[in-house]
Amino acid sequence: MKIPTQVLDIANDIRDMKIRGAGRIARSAANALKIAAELYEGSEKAEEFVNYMERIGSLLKSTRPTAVSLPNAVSYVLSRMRSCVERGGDFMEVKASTIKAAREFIESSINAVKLIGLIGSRILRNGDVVLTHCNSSAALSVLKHAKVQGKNIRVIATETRPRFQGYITYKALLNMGIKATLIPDSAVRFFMKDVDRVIVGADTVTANGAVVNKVGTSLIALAAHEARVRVFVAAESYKFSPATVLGELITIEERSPLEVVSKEYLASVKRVNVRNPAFDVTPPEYIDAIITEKGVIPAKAAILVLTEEYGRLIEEGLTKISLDLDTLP
Amino acid sequence: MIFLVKNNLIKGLEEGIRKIENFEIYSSTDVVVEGLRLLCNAFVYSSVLDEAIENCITVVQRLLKARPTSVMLSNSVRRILEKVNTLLKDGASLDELRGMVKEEYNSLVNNMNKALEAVALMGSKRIDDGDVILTNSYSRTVLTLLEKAWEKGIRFQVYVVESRPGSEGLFTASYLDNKGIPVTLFVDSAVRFFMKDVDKVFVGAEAIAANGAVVNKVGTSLIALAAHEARVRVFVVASTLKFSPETIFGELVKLMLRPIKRLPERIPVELSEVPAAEFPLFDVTPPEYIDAIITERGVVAPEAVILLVRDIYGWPPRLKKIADITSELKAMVQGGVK
Repeated sequence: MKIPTQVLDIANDIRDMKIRGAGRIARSAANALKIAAELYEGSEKAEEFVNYMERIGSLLKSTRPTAVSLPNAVSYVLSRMRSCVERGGDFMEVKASTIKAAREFIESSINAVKLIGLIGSRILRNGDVVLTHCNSSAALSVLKHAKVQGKNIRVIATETRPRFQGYITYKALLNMGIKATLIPDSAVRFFMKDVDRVIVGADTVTANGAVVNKVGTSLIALAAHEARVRVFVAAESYKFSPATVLGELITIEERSPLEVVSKEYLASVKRVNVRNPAFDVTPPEYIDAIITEKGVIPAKAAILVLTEEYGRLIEEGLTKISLDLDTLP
Repeated sequence: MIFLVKNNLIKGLEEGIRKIENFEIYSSTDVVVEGLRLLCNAFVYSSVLDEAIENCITVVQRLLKARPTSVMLSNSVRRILEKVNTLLKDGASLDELRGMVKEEYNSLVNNMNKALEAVALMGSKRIDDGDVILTNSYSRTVLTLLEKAWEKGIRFQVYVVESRPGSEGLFTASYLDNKGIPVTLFVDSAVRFFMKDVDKVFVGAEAIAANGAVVNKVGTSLIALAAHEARVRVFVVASTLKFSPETIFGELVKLMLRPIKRLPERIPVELSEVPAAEFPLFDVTPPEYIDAIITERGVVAPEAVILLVRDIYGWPPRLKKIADITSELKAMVQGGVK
């Protein structure tokens, strides 16, 4: 059975960064799975339905390589679908459980962003100057709730080259009634003296508490560390990567040079190699805390969230590795 | 006739100042050359002595306001003003002043170029085969240095940072590419991502303070910090004309902040008005993050800048404030020196 156009559109929008931000990507992926299940027109056999959904899951996962929220969202939905099959559910039950799981994921994701906002806003004080990078819905939620609580905060937002997502953040802050100033990414150290707190989002949190986020985050964290400014990462638990517990490395996506320079510029040079990594890795030493919907944790305690949330997945992975070990000559 | 002459001066001055203010001239050395040319014009396009002095003072004030960070500019301007002052006291004519200013211009530009060449030559010795060199902005000294190393047959590659605001890193990349040097270009925020691959950082300077702190294009201090973290060496290349003797007396180098004039193309959101933004052009890199400053008088640790300042300006440095010299000049003209 063919993949519905609506689902393909979502996959393309994620790939082309029309849908961006790890949280939004995850919710869109769950939504795509939900739509795919609803529009399924194949035979009423659980097996065929499962194959179809797995294919769509793989397609969605292939759109962006770095943000773990994407595979986490897909596996949240599909693992519930598989459990239903294991329990002996028929086609209708499997389909219903898939749709329900997708809905659940979206709801809990939205709820998580809200909770992070509520929890995170407590670390902000009246009069604080907060620096943020890129456009993170979790970080914005923290700022929004601080404002709602009547805290008078000012935000310094980096432009965030190459795609200038800082301007989206700037507009969102204005709409919330929060005073904001844009600065170029190169001026982060220049302004760090004036900053009280750094709040950024995350694309992926690894087993050792390193945070993968929009390129430049690690530089900001370094400058904050130097100036003894506290750095907070706002990250939902589905941004923690269970695969890293099993030693897997995060692939840093490198995007088109045309996001950095114009076609005309590229044509004018002989062989300037324009590199465009979308993310970088901030070591846990430069992070004061990660704000999750389950509470504030030290970055190095990331494993706690991972075993609590993905214990079963990690166990399965470990079992597979030990089985592989047995087959070694 | 006089009107026409004056018009030419003003037209040239406005255009030159605009170019300096808008950062259209990337190299700090080229800024000084342009500034001194404008100062020469004050004498060339004036028909009587009083007018020349008045115009000269106007040009000096405009220049220092347009580029308060450039110590090489203020040092050069001071040297010319002091000569004007001396000549005027000796009763020199406008023609004599014109001749002297022209001569000074040539000698200053010559000195700057010689210093640049000497710095580049010394610096090029610090580049080894296989090196990855990182640089930002557009520094004529750094470019000359890299060219010299390449011409010697040393094979290396250069990482260039875009360097917003201004994005003059693109010109640096094109320039090196044109010389056949392999170049990789990336945005400012990717500096820490790539620092692991870098062997040495080379940057130019706008000004160097008495404690060895380096004022340069904004982002330099962030690069130096990331290099320090990764134990990558940072070299600043600058002629001693950029050393600021005033900072010994506690004067601070003035940094400039710019509002955003127009929105970048391709921003992913619609904004009804130009956003509140602060775009600094320069920042200060503390001496702790600098391994050496390469000058035409040799390679020095940033903490030893003070020694060179002593050698050049005496100890304590004997310096007249530019404002004091211009007041003296004004007084003389009004006092009827012809």
